[in-house]
Amino acid sequence: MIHMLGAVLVAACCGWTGVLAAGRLRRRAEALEALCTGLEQLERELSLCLPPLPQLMADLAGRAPAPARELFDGCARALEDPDREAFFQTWDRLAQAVPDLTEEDRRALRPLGQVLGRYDAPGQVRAAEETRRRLEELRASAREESRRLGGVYRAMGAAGGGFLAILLL
Amino acid sequence: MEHERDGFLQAAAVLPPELRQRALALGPKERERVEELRLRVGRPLTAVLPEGECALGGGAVCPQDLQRLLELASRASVHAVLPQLREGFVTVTGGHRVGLCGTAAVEDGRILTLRSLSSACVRVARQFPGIARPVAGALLEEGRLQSTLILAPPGAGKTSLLRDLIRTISEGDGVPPLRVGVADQRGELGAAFQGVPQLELGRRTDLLDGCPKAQGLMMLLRSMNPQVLAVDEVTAPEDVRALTDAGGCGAVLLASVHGAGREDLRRRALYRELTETGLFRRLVTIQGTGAGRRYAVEVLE
Repeated sequence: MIHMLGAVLVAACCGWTGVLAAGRLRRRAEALEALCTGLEQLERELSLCLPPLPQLMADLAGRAPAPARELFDGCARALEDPDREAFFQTWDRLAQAVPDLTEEDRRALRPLGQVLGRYDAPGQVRAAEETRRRLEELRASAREESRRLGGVYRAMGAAGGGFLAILLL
Repeated sequence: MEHERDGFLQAAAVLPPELRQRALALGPKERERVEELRLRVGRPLTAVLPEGECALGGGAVCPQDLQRLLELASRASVHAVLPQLREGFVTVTGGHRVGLCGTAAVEDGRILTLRSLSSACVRVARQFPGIARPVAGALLEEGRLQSTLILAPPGAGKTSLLRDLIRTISEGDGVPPLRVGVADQRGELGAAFQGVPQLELGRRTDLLDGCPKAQGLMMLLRSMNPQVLAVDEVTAPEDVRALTDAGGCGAVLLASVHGAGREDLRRRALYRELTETGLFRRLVTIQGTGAGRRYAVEVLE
């Protein structure tokens, strides 16, 4: 009976690991999608209304999908603090904390912080466009990876769990 | 008194934290008297008081301090203040003006921006409710407000007087109440923040903020049906043209110009146009500083 219970637990754990690994791939693609949407909104607002950065970030925090929302919200809050660090440091820190991204995704996102609020609006829009285009490339590869490997991870988890369960029994 | 301290705190908030601590070390009495805070690279932070400029101690200001000041003053939004920056200043919350010096980046004779900042001057904006009351009565003729020009050198209190004159007329404080349209290009009269004037301009005042003066005057005239139009620091021929057009439409004008005395009005062609065409019927000059300021009203024929 204990053998049976152990085998079921091991099989479930392996299966769950596969599901988690596949979920991580999916969430990365979703996070990149959200960031692309947020940056597109940022470009439009900057082109048309030239809002100050705190107002722009607060506005995007209310409209962009998660996790881009958290990034913009964090920036808006930080900008209200008179003792805050320089904005590029805030952006760097918060970009580092966006969940589900890879190091490569974060490297693509970070340089935008050096431009936002420091140059004229067309210069910032260009930088945002470049960042968005790079993130779109990464999103396409993340989707492809999720489609290709998601099923594999789930199947491997289930198969590995089944195999270990047979061994234990 | 509380407002005076708040004004100082607002102005000091644009300083980088270390320099801000030095400014906040001033006692409450001194804070109320500070007119400007000055930063020059390689020199200590100084405060300008009515009796002169005094160093606030500590180390010398470095170029990074000025960059940080610009980020705090612009709320990390250079793009939103670029037109002002090209003229050498940024207006911050509360109507305080941060003047900047550095190297101008020029292309085709046009200033793109200021780089390598070398010095800055944070001018503390203050509101003095009631200072226009003794003047306002002298601006009336047969009970009707006359177009008025305020003339004084920089720092003499033109903006403060104009602001309180707007409030006085808008509130009907000793004069018949009138609708006032204010073209506040530099944001120093109303200091609007997210659409709300931070300084009192009266209940019948419509404030158009950030718009070039000449265009602002015409927009107000077309859209808000003002009885009085007010504008600070007339400096360009297009401003004079817009004032002439607005005056011709029946609006009473309130404006301020730089100058030490009436001689300056005669010497500068731009200002001659303002007075000799009969556009303005009253001239207010300011003498003295601080609590000792005196206002003189002349009738322009």
